[in-house]
Amino acid sequence: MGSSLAAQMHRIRSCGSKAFIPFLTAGFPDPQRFRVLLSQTRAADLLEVGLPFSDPVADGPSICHASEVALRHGMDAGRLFEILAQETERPPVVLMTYLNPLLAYGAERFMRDAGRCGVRGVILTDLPPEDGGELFELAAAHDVASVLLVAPTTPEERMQQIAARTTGFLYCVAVAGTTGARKQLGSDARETIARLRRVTALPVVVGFGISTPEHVRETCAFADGAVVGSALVDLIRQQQASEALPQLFAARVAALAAAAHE
Amino acid sequence: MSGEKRLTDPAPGGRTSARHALPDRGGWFGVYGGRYVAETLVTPLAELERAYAEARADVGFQEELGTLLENFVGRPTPLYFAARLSQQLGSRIYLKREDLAHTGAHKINNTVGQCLLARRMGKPRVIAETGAGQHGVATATAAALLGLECDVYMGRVDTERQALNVHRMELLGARVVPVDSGSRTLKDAISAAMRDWVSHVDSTHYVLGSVLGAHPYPMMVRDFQSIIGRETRTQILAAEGRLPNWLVACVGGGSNSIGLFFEFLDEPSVRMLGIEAGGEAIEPGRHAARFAAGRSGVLQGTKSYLLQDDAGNVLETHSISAGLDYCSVGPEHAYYHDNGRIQYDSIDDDEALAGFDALTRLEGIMPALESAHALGYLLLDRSRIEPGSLLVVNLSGRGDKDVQSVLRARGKP
Repeated sequence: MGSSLAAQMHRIRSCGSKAFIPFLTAGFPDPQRFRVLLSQTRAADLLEVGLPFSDPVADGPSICHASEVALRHGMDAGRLFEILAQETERPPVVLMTYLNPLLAYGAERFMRDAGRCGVRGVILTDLPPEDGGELFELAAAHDVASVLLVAPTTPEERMQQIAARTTGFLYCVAVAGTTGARKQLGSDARETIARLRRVTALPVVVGFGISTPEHVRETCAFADGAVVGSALVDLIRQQQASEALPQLFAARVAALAAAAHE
Repeated sequence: MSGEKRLTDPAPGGRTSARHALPDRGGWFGVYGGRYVAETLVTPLAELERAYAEARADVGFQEELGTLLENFVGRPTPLYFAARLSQQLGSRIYLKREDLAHTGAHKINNTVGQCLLARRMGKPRVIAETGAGQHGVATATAAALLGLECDVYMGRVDTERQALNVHRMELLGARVVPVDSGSRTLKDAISAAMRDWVSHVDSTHYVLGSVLGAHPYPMMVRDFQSIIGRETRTQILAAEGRLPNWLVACVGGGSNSIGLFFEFLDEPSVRMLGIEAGGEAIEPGRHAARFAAGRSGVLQGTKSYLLQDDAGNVLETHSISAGLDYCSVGPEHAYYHDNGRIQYDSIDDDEALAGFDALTRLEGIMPALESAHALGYLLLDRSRIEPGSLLVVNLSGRGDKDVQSVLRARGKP
C-alpha cells in the first residue's frame, strides 16, 4: 500500500472522475514514433505500455502484430526504459509484459530501472499472484505498484486473495479471451465488477475489447476507469504512413479521455 | 490372460514412491513447472485438475480407458527384439513398438484419456496443437470415437511438410487451422490453441499433446503415457528376466520419453537417455537442443529450459523432425536433467537420417523421424551406451508421414 499509483487512483476517485488509460506497444510502429506518440497522451490519466514479447499468448492479432514489429526494431526493456526517461511529458506509466522478458533482464534490476524512469505500476499477464510475492516486494521497494488481473472466471474467494496482493488498482478483464477490439461490449465486466465490489474497495479499471468513446462511457458508469488498447494500436497501424499520425492519435486519445471524464 | 490384463491396468493410486511425489501440489517439479497463465485460465485449470483427480480415482473411468486402450488403440504394443540391429551394434536392443498403436504413434494413449475426460467434464468440443501432425491425428481420432467437435492448430510450415496428416485429420472430421504467426511451427500452434481455449473455456477442453504447459498438463499427460513403461517392465522381464541397462527415447516436448522412463525412475540400475534434435548445428535458430543451449525461462504456462535470446524472447528452432522442433521441454525433464537422473544428448539431422535408414533396412521398420533420433544415437562413435548393454528404445511412431521429408533431405523432389 501507499504507492503513488494508488494515491493517484484515489485522487481521481475522490473528485468523482474516472481514469482513462490508453495502451501503446513499446517500439511500435518504430522506436522514434513510439516516443512521439508517448508525448501525445497528455489527455489521459495513466498510460499503459506493453513491453513486447515474442510469444504473447494473452494477446489478440493487433497487439501480436505490433509486438512482432517492435521486436524487429530491437525493442527491449533497456531501450524502453531509456525512452521513458527521455520522454517525460506524459502520464505515469503502467508497464504490461510477460514474465520471461522480466526474468531475462533480472527482476531486481527491472524494478529498479522501471521505478527510476517513472513506471508506477506493473502488470504481468502470465504471473499468477500467488507466485508473485517476491517480485511484488521488489516492485514496491521502487514505488512500482502491482496491478493484478481479475477475470470473469475468477471466483469471489480468489478475488479476495488477489485484492489482498494488489497495491495499485485491479484490472478487470472484460471478457474471457485475448486482447482485441470488439464491436460490442458484453455484460461480463459489469457482472465481474459487481462481484468484485462485494469483496474489495480497491479501484477497478476494465480492459480488453473496449474501443470507442461509447464503450468508455458505458464502462465508466460502473468501473473506476477504462483501458483502450487494440483499437489505438489499430489506428497507429492504419495511419503509420501519414505525417498526421501524432495529431490523429492525440485527437483519438482526447476523445476517449473526454468520454471517461464526463 | 490375467498377465495380459495387467498391462493395461491403471496407474497405482497410492503415491508411495519418489517419482510419484512430483509434481507437488502447486504443479512444481523442483523449481520447474507451475501454472504461468492469464487469470482467465487459472480457475479452469484448477477445475481440470480436480476433474482429472476424480477420474483417476474412478474405477469406471479407468476401466473404460483400459478397454479402449486394449481394443481401440491395440495395447499392449509389442516389445520387439531387433536381432539384426543388435548384431550390428553388439548390444541387445529391444524396440517398444508404439508405432503399432492405432494412428501410428504413442500420442493416442494421451488423446483417448483426455477426450474421455473432456466428455466426462461435459465439454462438447476439443482443440489441439500439432507439430508433426501425429497428435492432431490422434486427437481427431479420439474426438471421432467419442463424438466431440475438434479443431486442430498447426503451424503453416508444418501443414506443408506434413500434408498427409492434414488430410487424415480432415477426413476424421476435424478442422485444421493453419497458424501464420511467429515461426509458423509447433510453438505458434500452441499459442494459437491457448488463445482459442481462453476464449471458449466453457465449452472446450484443450487436449495438450505433450508434457508441457501449465499444471496439471505435464502430470496428466505423463500419467496417460506412463503405460508405455509399465508394459515395458512386464515385457522385458518376461523376455530377459532382468531390467534393461538403458532406456533411450527422443525428446521433443518429452511425452514418449517420460512415458517410457517414468516406471523405472526408482530403479537405480536402469539408466536413461533422452535425445534432442541437434538440427543443422548447435547455433541460435538452427537446432532444438534445449539442454545444450537453453536456460531457465517461462513460456506457455510452464517454467523449464528454453531457447531464448538475451532479452528473453524465444529463439527460432530447426529440426528435420517437426515433432522435435520446439523451443522448450517438459518441466519434469528439466528437473531430472538437473539432478542427473536422466541424461540428455542431441544428434543432428543427418545422424537422425542414418538412424532412419538403419532401422528401415536392417529390420524392415520405417521409424518416424522423431524416433529416428533415438535410433541414430546408437550408431554414433560417441554413444555413451556400453557394448553388450541390454536396452529398450522407444519407437514412438511410424515413418510413413516422413517419406516426403526424407526424400527432400536427399535432394529428391
